[in-house]
Amino acid sequence: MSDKEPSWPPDVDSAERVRHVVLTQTEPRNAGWIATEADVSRDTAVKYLDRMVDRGDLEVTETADGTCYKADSVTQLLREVRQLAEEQTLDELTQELNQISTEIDEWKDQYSVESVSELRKSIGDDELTGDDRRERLEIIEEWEYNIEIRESIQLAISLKSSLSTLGSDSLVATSSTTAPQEG
Amino acid sequence: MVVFLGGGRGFTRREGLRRIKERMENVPGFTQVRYEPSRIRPRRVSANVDVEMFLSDSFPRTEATVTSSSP
Repeated sequence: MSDKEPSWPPDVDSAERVRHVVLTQTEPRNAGWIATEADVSRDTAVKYLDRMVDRGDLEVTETADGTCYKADSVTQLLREVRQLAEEQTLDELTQELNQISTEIDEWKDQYSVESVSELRKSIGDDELTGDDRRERLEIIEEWEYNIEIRESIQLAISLKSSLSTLGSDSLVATSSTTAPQEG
Repeated sequence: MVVFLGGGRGFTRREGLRRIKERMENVPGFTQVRYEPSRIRPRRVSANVDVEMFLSDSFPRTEATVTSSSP
């Protein structure tokens, strides 16, 4: 459990604090931990967490720390794909795919590998210095991040295409309706 | 100034960066709060800073950039 004192802006209510805490964790957390971080009582945390579970935002898992909560990965993916399809144009999505591919190609050249898996294996090379290994580990994380986002972008493009075929124009706008960098 | 955000799954990372961006947009003296390298694929949130407004004091530099990044 964290030993820091949570400090929240006054306009962030308890439900939002619980939501923020649980959705920004990289591993499942129990209600007591979340309550401390969100500066709410455990009962309050459980109330909001259970609502999020009911809505499909969270999944429950049993760990050594008891009943724990984590973001539902399917809900997150579907929500992100829809958001990308709604907020980005086909051109923007295509350009991002191109930038991702370009960056991955640069890493392949830089480290003389053909895949992120090969780069991961290279961490065990004896001739690498500690700095080399740390740099490669950072690149591996960014590479996998790129792959994950690429999947979402490709699904968003497919969604736009399917909706266009079906005659729904809600997600097939040719220009973005949101301000750059919004959200 | 660089604020490090714990790594993890991409969704979690983007959610954290989104919250940081929202907070930075409400800091006096911060302008052009933006995702880098892009909104679709954020790794960092950066902002231009009016240093004297941010510090409420004089400072040898008048402009700066703040970046929050992960991992």
